[in-house]
Amino acid sequence: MTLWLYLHFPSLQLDALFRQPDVGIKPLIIVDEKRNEVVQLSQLAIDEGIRVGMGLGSASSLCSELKVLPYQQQVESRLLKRIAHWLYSVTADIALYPPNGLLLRVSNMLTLHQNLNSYWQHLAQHLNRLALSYHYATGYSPYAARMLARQRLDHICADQHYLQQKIAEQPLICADLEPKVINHLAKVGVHCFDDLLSLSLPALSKRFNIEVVNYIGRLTGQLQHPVNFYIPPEHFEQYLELYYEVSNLQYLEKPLLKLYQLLDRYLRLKDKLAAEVLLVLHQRDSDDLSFSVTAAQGEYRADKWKQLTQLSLESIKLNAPVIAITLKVTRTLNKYAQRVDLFKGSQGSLSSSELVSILSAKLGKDKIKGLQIAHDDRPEVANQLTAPFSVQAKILKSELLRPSLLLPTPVPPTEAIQIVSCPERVVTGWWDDHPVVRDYFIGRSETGRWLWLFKDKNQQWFIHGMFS
Amino acid sequence: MNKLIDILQHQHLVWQGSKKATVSVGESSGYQTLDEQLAGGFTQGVTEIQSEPGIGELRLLLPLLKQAFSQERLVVFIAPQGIVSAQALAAQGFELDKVLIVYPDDQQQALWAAEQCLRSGACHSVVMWLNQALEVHQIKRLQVASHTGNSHQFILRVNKAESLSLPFDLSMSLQAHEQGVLARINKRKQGWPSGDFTIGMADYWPALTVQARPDNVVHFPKVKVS
Repeated sequence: MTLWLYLHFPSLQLDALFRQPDVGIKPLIIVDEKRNEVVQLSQLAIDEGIRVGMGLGSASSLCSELKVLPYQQQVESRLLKRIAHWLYSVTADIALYPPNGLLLRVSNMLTLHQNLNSYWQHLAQHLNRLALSYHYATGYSPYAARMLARQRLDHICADQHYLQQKIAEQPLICADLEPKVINHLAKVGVHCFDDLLSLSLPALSKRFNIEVVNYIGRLTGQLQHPVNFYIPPEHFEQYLELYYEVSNLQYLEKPLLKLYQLLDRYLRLKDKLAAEVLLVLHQRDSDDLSFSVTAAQGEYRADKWKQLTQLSLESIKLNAPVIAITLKVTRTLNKYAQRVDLFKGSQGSLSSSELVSILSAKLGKDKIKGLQIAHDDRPEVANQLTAPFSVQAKILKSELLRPSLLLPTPVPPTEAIQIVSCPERVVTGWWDDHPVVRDYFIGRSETGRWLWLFKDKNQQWFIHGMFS
Repeated sequence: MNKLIDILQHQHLVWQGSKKATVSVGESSGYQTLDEQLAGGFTQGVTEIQSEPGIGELRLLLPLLKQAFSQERLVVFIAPQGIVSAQALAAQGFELDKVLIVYPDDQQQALWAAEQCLRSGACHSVVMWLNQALEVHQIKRLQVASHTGNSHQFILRVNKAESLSLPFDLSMSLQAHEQGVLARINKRKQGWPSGDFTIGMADYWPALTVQARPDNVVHFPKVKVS
């Protein structure tokens, strides 16, 4: 059976707000407007006696200096994606359970780790960097893991018997069922999972409706539970909401550094460099202000990016206070790995095709050429430019003495030239639209330049190349 | 005080004994006279060659460039003034699938492309034709790149276009000569400038040298007897 791990983030919106720890801050609560109850609250608010589930009225009567934010589900969903993206470097199969849960498939990852504990240690270490509060539990089905994590089991274990027992202990209220269905079950005296689990699926389907059967079937792993796994986008984009509004650009330094540190880590994991980033400052009641910062060489270090950004910030004027920042990488480069040769010292290690792709990305494909020899006696036809690496070297041989540089179009000579060779007659091309009747000579000009010239059938002289 | 030293160091006005002089043995240029003058051959770094076009400046480099193929590396020509002839290179034993030609729009792009090629390590040499003035920092960047990628950079131009001296690893000027080219080393890292010396090319291109007139021929008298 597959082992699953569920991560439940009870206060995602609260944890993700940017807060400066040293400033004396007010107690903060996040209130669900629809239900008018406190859903998330900071430690200071707990100290004041406020609890989850209280109404806004009773909360504000307990504390006079209360900061209240509305609960926004889409903010949490966005943050959840960010966490999934973050964890993707450590674990492969992640499913999103918006607004505040992540389901991870553990079994496949265990082949890479010694045991479940080392896997969890590795994962938790990575997750703790985000400094979020979370609850977790394992289970042999997605529903089991989810239910136990939401019940704050906070225990990692693969013991089937123990998990079974834990599930059986839980009250039915925490099941992922409609309140109506739970009510209905309570009326017939079913309060605990144990009551349902002791029955077989056919027996359940006789007594209860299809929803309950499906749920229990999936919980116990008897029915298939399809899971959509998260596939990370190939780019870096981070959104950071500020705890307070910033109208002085200098105060953006710290939140920016936080974003750049994430970028730093992202790039380091991918072994890439960012060449250009786009910063969007979301202003209150005003249009977003966006500007890009570039590093010609490519850079990944957070402090360097901060430095570069400060330079650009100097020329920027805010229309309204900033409430949030988005950082997006618009161009990345491959890091030039340094290959160190014992005798020759460090060497770049880019393959030739990588080099060509870099060059053609910036200059354009038609600017990078390779060489080819066509089997033709006309020099301008024989010496061709093609796409790089498109020809085989073995078949291209030539024994003729030819100038190293051919002029794109032959030009009449402007100085006295002494002919030093016998003529080489080229009469060909009568079958296509480019007939050639020429006598080629090697000449040496008065200044000592070695030229390749020809006399055409009208007895006119042209320079066609240089033996440079 | 420290700041002052930093500034002086930055301007390369202070030489420190602790700096280890890295003596790198150059790659043979293929011409014995030139190798002797350069104490081994071309070292990696940026080499400037001032010459009129067409006197043999590119042919001077071809034996060196050919060594790229034994190392399975590329030779890149940037901004050639014409079409680099595949036949001419093939006659010299070049492997054409290891030759790249880059036609940049301007000098800025040319320098950028050269830097990428040098740094990549995939290229043995980069030959670049330039005709505008260069700046010190541009040469420095090419130098760093060529050391990273262990590659050679050759800059071919007609004459010096700037008033100040640029930090080339090697600067040579070439003049036409009947037996090859007449070369002179203008400046060189870890070495002295030289006087003029002839580099004979008759071994590689016998057809492109002026045959010495035999001195035992007596011209037939053309004086009319009256």
